[in-house]
Amino acid sequence: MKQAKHKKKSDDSQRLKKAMRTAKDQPSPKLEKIKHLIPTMIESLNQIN
Amino acid sequence: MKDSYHVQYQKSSSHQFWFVSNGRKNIIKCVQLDLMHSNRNYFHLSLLDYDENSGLLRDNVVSNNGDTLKVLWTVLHCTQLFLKRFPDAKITFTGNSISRDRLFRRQINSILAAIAEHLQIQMQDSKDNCIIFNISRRK
Repeated sequence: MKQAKHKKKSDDSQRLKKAMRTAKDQPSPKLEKIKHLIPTMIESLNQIN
Repeated sequence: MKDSYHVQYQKSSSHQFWFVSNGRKNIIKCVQLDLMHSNRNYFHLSLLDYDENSGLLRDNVVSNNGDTLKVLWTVLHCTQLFLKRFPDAKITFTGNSISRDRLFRRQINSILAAIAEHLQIQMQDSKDNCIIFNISRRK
């Protein structure tokens, strides 16, 4: 049981490392989608003290 | 921060915090912060899922992994780590739909008291039919 848990953790860690390498410089698809909102967001941020 | 996942930071063209969401499935997630305005410390936050088949980051996945609150705590933990490093930064984000925005607002309101000591969170209804969430460091 303990060994299986350790193996799973190690697998997750390997998957995470691979993901980080692969997607290191990918632009955010979310940011691409909300480009039209950026001026509104900046205006909203300007209001923060 | 309270009940959040362990995160790993990576600096690239943006700032990325990575973690594994251990719910019904083990999903790799990334909190990405992109500079929005070159003259100001304004950053856009995206919560993204990593698609292991395509190797791409995706924003449109409803993972339904049963750990929403833990993921929210993790996102807030990332913002806190980021603001510790860049105290003057201001972070903004919005959800994928108005119903998602309302869900975020309810969830954030439910934990606001626990985070108010460190973070200042503003939620603003926009004329573009969305809610804009702004996070900054409490001074």
